[in-house]
Amino acid sequence: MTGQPAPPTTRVRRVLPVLTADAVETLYEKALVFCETKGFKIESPRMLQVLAGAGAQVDQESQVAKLPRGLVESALKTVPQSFALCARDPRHDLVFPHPEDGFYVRTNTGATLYLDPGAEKLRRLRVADVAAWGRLVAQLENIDVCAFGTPADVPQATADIHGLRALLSNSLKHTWIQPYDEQNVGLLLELAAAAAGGETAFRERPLVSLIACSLTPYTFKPMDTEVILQAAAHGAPIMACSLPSQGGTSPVTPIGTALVAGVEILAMVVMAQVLRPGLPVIATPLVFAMDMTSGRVGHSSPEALAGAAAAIQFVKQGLGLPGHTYGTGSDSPVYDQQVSVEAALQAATMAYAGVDLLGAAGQFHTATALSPLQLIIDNEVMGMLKRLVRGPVVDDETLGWETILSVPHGDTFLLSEHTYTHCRDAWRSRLFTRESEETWRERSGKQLSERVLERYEEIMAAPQEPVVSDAVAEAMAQVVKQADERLA
Amino acid sequence: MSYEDLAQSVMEGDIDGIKPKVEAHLAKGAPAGDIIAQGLLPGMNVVGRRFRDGDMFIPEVMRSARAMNDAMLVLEPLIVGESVPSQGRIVIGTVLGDVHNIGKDLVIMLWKSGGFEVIDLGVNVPPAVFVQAIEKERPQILGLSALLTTTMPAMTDVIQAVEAAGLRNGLRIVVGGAPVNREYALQIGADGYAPDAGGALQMAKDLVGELVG
Repeated sequence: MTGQPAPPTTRVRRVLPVLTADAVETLYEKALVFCETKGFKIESPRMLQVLAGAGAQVDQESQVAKLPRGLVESALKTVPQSFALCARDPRHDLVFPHPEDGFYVRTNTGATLYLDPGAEKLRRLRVADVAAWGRLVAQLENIDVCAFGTPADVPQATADIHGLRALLSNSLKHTWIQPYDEQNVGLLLELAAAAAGGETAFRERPLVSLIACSLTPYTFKPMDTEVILQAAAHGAPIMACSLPSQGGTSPVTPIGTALVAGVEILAMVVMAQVLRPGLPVIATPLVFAMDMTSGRVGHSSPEALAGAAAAIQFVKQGLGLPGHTYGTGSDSPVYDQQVSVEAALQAATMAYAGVDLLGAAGQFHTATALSPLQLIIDNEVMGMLKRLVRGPVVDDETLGWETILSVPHGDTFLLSEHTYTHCRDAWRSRLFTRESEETWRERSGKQLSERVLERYEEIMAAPQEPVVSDAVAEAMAQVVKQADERLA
Repeated sequence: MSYEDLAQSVMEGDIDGIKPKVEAHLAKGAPAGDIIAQGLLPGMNVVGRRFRDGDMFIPEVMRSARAMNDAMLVLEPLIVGESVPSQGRIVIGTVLGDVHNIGKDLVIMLWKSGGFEVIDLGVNVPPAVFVQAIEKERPQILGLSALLTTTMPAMTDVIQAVEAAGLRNGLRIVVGGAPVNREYALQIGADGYAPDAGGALQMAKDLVGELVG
């Protein structure tokens, strides 16, 4: 034996389903009935025309489009089962389905607040923070998709464009864009094309995917149909997002909310596939639950998690789509132990629910606040989960069968060849300690918060190669300037 | 049948039983104003207190408000020569460029349940429309809602428009929405901010109380 570790896990992901097959079938049938009988209000004459041409029953006056079963099922057939979310560095391309049956991780999108490492009080996010976020994500091996918050120190009408430029200038990973206005969508794609080296290069390998959202319940605003139209025109993948809040904009029950999320995602799938058959669509139910004592919505309560897990199973098994949702994060308004507990619980729940893309890394205060330290912790937790969700290979070697039979009664396995061979198989944390208290005091005496801060400072102090050439930087600057002149 | 029984119907959200009870009181000769002041309003005051304490949930508060409203539909036509007691008048809308309404609508329901008269201007409301509504309705409170960081600046536009129209004096402006916080509210010159719908009712009462002195 050479001491080379054998893989301890299979390539098969273990999923803990929350719904039976019959329940998934029920949701599927209800969804089709909904699409055909209730339909969706789509505030875009152009999209309504497109849908009418594809066989939808459209009432121009009410702007409601009803989607017949045949149209929906046809759209589900053309959604690609395999595709890639590209990155400027192809080593960071994300292949769907995951080649090792694992999952990917995305950072928060849209936050407006930032917690400086070591600080106690939140402040407004700045564009320099977005740049730093990109540099941090570049060094975190378990963070695969970078999104960005909304900086406050730039013209608000073009905050998304400034944010994207800052991120693309510092990260080579796939980027997820959240446009904030109809007029910005085209400019954001222009910026991404500039980063890619031109429109042709971008169409061959789109570096960004786009959020398309419903306005729950069952409504689509002009901006979000514009996203779908532009994404289809440019070939950029869509994350079809439904953001229901239980008891507020969807049924108060988690399973009812899962259905509402599913139907809204179906509508976006149909729109995308009618425009461009084969456009990648990732189903993204981002489930909230309304606190009935305050009206506030959160995504970390058990009800929200239950709704999300059900929605994910529905979109994956019922609709055959890859699933993406909040895979970490916390509703806590302050950076305390609640953040750790809720983030880890959400991550584990969603990893075992079979989510393909776990979102929200680095966030708390219900997606409105960013913490770079929490991002580092989330990176660590995701590493653990990527290992945990795999089932074991079961054979004589992994069982240690010969060793089991050979170890005398009452003796030890510590000196066996099998233990020697596999002693380094275990996933080892960079941040979490398993020392005794005495050893811990002697070696560092530092709590997790201090160790994470050290890790953050180490990452940010390390030199990083520029990720954009001067020519690309200039091309992006021109787009931003044009956007500010036109919109700000 | 007592006024306490009527108050209990409000507290329990007895939407099936409250109208017959009100009619029974009227049949016995009770003045409509007394039924409101001694039966219905005390019930809603208890609801407001229990909601503030986290003892009643929003849907339960709304059920109580619905019962109250059903009773008022019977009583309002009978109030002759006097106005129906009101905690105050509020004009509210979601600012220009923003079409989100769930938070606004929730606050409206809670304000109405607390006895406020609320004029809802809807969503995507330009500053000029807010100004016209204030001129016409003369509210004590103007409420501005925004759910997007990109539409928050429109709140400043409204406040400036109100000031330019000479309507700022005697008006309390409150702001709300997921991206808004107290710091932002103060920065733009608002008078009040509630972090959630639950706090909005008490805030409105406090602000009207300030105006009354």
